[in-house]
Amino acid sequence: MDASPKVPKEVIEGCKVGDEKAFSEIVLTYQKKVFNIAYRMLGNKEEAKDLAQEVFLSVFESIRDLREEAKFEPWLTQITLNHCRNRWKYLKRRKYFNSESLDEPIETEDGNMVKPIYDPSGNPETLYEKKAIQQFIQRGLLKLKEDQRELIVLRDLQGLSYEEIGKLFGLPEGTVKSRLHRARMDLKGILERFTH
Amino acid sequence: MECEKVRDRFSSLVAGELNPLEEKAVREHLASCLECQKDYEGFEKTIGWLHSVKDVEAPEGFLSGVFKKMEERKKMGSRSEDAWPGWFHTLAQLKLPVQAVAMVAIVFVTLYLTKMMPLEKPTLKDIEQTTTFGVERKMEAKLAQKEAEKEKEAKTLLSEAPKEKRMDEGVVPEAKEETKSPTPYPPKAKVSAVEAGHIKEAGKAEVPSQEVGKGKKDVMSKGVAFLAGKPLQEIVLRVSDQDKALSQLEELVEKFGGEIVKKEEGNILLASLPTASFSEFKKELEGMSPSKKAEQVAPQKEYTEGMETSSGVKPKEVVRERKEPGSPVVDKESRTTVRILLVQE
Repeated sequence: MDASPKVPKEVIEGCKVGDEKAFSEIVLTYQKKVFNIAYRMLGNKEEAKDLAQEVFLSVFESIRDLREEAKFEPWLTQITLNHCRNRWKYLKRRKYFNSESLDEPIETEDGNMVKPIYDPSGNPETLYEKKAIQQFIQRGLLKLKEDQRELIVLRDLQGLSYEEIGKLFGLPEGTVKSRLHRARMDLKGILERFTH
Repeated sequence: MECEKVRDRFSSLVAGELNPLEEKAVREHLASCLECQKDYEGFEKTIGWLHSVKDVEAPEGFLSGVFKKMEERKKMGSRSEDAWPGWFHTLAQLKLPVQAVAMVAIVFVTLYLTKMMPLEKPTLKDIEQTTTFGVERKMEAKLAQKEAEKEKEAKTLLSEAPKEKRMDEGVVPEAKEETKSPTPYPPKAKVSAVEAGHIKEAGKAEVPSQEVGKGKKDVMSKGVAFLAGKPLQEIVLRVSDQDKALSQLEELVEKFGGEIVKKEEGNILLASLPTASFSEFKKELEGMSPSKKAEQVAPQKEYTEGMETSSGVKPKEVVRERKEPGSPVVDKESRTTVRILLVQE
């Protein structure tokens, strides 16, 4: 991630001097990544969209402070995580997550849907089943602790390496591995409780 | 291998990160332990589901939304900027270092406090003045008390005056004593010195010192009035028959409403007469003398001179005495005291 940002160095430099075209290129390149992190962290598309846009506004305002263009992606991920943490606190204070129960409609990428009575023991063959699993995992993620959710989102959903995650959190790789394992085991337990 | 250790290696087993020996040991345990096997199956499924989760596309109009928000933020920023006065923006643009601003603030505060100090001093002075007032009042009270005591003493002396051999010898030393003694009626110069001392000690209060000066002047004038009652008239009466003259003199004094205050050594009389009838009494007295003349001894000047030095201002009465030595000294009750010396011819 450090060595090969998806956007050329010139684009980042252009964005630094306030070039809106360069900024647009950065937004278009990274919008999916930022939006998905936000969505998996918050579990709500509207909140995720709003948050992702705020992230890019922060990028535009503070990209002058970025000294090494090669570190743009970790820098962007860090900004995204910071925004997610703040938004999570904000929503939690307003009891946003407390209202949700297993019987209430939950959101998928296709909009709200009634909670499926799904037994994850079977194979997800149909589209409905696939969507149900997505939603099932999302709900399980939201039940995790915030730092555990971050680890799973970054490693299992975004595919970051242990090294990259270690740099983001300032942790050794071994610690990242053990914490990630603990997070996965906790998620397994949460998902099992959902089905029983 | 224990179950706990096997479970701790689930992630590594799924990711294929275990070395062959470890992997073999874990798999052997899973084959023999149904509980761990069940746990591992669940874990494997969870990881499989997680990896099955696909990224969703960003909502449409995401980029335009970012620019829309950017414009809104600019508008908000300009509104908030408009809320501040122009000079604030100018200062903000200068980007003055916080330390510099703090230093300037400290300097101003120091100057302010330094200027405040002299303003506090008068307050202290006021306190000292108050104290001075108190001291001066005490002084005045003491002076008044001493004055009263002195008056008493003088009356006693007046009544005992005939014991002295000569009037001038009795009165003048007394006056001298008064002049010399600094405590009851200190000379003006000394009073000033004392005042200055007080002022220095008490904090340079001018107004109280003036009041004290005034008080002292009053005391001095009172002293003059008091001394004016003393027998300063002396008449030498030459007679042929002293006893006869004495009885005549007593009758004369009684005739003019006066009284013999004291008889001394048989030939000295101290008489007190009403001032109005004193001149006639004097004429009658001259008639008594065979030589038709009663010698009048001038009033003692030491007293008045003493007063001059003590007061610094010559009282009018005293000046008049100097010009007219023969004129009687009028006491407070309009009585004249005269000392009559009978001399055998």
